[in-house]
Amino acid sequence: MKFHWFHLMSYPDLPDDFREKNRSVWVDVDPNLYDPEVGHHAYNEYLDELEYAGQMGFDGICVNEHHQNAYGLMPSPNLMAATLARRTTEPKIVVMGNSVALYNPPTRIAEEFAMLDCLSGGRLVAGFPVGTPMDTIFSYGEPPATLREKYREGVELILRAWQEPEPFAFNGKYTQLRYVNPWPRPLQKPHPPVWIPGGGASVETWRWCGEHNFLYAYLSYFGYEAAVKSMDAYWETMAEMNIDQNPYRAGFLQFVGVADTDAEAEKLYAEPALYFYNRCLHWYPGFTSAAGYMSVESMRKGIKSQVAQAGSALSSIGQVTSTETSWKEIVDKSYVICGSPDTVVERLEDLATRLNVGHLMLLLQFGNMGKELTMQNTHRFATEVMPKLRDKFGDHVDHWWPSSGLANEKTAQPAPINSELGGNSQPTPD
Amino acid sequence: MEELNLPSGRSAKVFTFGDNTAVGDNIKGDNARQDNDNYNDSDNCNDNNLPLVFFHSAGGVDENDPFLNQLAASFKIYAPVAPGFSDLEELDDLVSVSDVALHYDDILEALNIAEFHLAGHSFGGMFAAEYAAHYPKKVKTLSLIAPVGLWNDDYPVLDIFATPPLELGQYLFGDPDSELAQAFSSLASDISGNEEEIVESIIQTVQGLVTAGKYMMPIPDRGLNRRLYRVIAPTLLIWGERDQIVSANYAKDFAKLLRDSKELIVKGGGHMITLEFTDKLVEAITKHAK
Repeated sequence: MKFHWFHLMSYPDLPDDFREKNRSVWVDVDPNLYDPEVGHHAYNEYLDELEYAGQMGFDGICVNEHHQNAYGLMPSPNLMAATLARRTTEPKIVVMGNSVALYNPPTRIAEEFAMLDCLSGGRLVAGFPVGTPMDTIFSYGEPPATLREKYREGVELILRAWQEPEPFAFNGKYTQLRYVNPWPRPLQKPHPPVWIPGGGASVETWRWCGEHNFLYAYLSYFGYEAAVKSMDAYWETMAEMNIDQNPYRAGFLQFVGVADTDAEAEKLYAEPALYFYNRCLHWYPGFTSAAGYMSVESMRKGIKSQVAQAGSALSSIGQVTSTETSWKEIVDKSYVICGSPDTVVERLEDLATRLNVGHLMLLLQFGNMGKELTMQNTHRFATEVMPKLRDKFGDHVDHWWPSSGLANEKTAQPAPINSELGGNSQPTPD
Repeated sequence: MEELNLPSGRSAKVFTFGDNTAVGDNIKGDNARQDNDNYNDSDNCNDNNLPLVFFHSAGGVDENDPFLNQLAASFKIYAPVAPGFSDLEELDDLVSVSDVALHYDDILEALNIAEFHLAGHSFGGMFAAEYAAHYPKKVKTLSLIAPVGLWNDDYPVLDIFATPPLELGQYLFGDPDSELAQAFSSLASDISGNEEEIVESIIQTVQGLVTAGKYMMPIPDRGLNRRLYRVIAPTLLIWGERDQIVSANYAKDFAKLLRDSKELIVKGGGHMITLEFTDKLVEAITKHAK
């Protein structure tokens, strides 16, 4: 199995009455709540945490893209990935990823990802999410009717741009370019592995991943038990397409808090978990989906159960009402897997088996969890949990993993900051 | 309802109401225009026999539409179903509002209607205005009921795409406590009955919203303000005074850009004025067009 340390980079200083006084953490969240000084410290601490995870032996460190929200402060994950590329040497840099339909032209992604791949010595995983409705439709103004088609055309363009041996013309429906010829090109050949993060509901996305041999990563906040049905459907879709059941073609996101006992877990992790679930996931239902974000086919599959359960037609277009979440619910439903290292090992083993996922994205920092506790959680996970699960799925080959592409495996290293080349010393006046 | 196969390869459903006028060649405005003597003779004005074409709102149209059934006492009415509403794939090649105007013209050509009165409501009002700007000579009179299509920062159009369906009722009607508003809310939350029918009706509604979104998101302004000068038909601008979706202030903005318009602001009316003040609207449109 592979373990990836995922940072959402939530804004850590939302007020206690945020839920009562604001309708949404996303899209039209009150800009006056953002304090750039808090941002300064948060970015630096969050990057420290990602770098620490790299040192502790996590296979990948993950960043992602969101807009106009206090849930995740990374409008540009590529900026974060660039600093991580310079400050780490071992972990793969998993950008989960760039919301393709929001880049004009999408070759911008081909360029930036190629920069990151060269900079990091071939450590990049290229993630291509559609993006949430909040990001794509409401913050960046993409009509849902054309969002997915535009996204897919963009992904095709990027993959071609990385591989064509000559400059070419691209006459797309959404992008027209007379000369496509990105410099630089990625180090990994034919291109960095492509991972597609998703919400576990789109049949078309699964088929598309299957057709292109992309990894599918189900990013859920609501625990693996609720995800079993969805992942079963994913694997059934693969089987229908005569595609193997290699666990490394899928990933799952899970919150984890390692402690000595359940009581200690609550003491340590309840506050940041409640902060995350009740403030960072406090969204206005109108923004959580829009007619057309889901395809009619996916809707038809989903509606029947929703009509039966939800008691209204509201959920039929995927809109979610944010309700207050309790610590009991968080633990009982495994939103956060909490407990002693043995308990966590047992639960994650169960997760990996039941979902058949070889890539586990871990949220070991969530909400307003401070740096010290984050490091402690990361350390305990790396030393007491990870080794016991390392060999799982050892009989499968991971074809969705970066391979450096460097001729002599020798990577360039940043010069020490105080070297003779100048470092950070102030220039002396003549 | 009839289904037309268009030269574009798309098909189109058209609901018809009323039969007070013969259809087909007899109503071709071209003939009327060519016959100048007849045309100028006010006692025998063929305009009275022209049909009325109606472009529906994002809510769709069906044969039970009370407004159109009542209006059918005065006109033979053709109400084409907007592309996308029955099948989203119809939108694939309809990239711009001009593409949609051409599509509507394909429908009218297939119906063999060369001159007509045109009316549209809300989303359909925008396309009625677009059509009249693209084909000014075919439209004898134009009636726009709370059309979208212009944008003013001082009174932004409500973002219906970010409004949960259950909340929409409070914005659609001039009186949110009225029976109509209550009925809408209970309809939106009603899940009783045949499951298949519910699923299909939800999908219909969603397809309508996706279509509307394609030409209205993120801002319902696709440049109509640059084209309205082309409209030559006398235009009646109808608005509910209390319209909370598209403010009645937009009547003035439309009037400024149109050559020949008058306004009717209905006291107490909301966005669903066709349902709220059916009699008044039928009377006003009939008077405007006859």
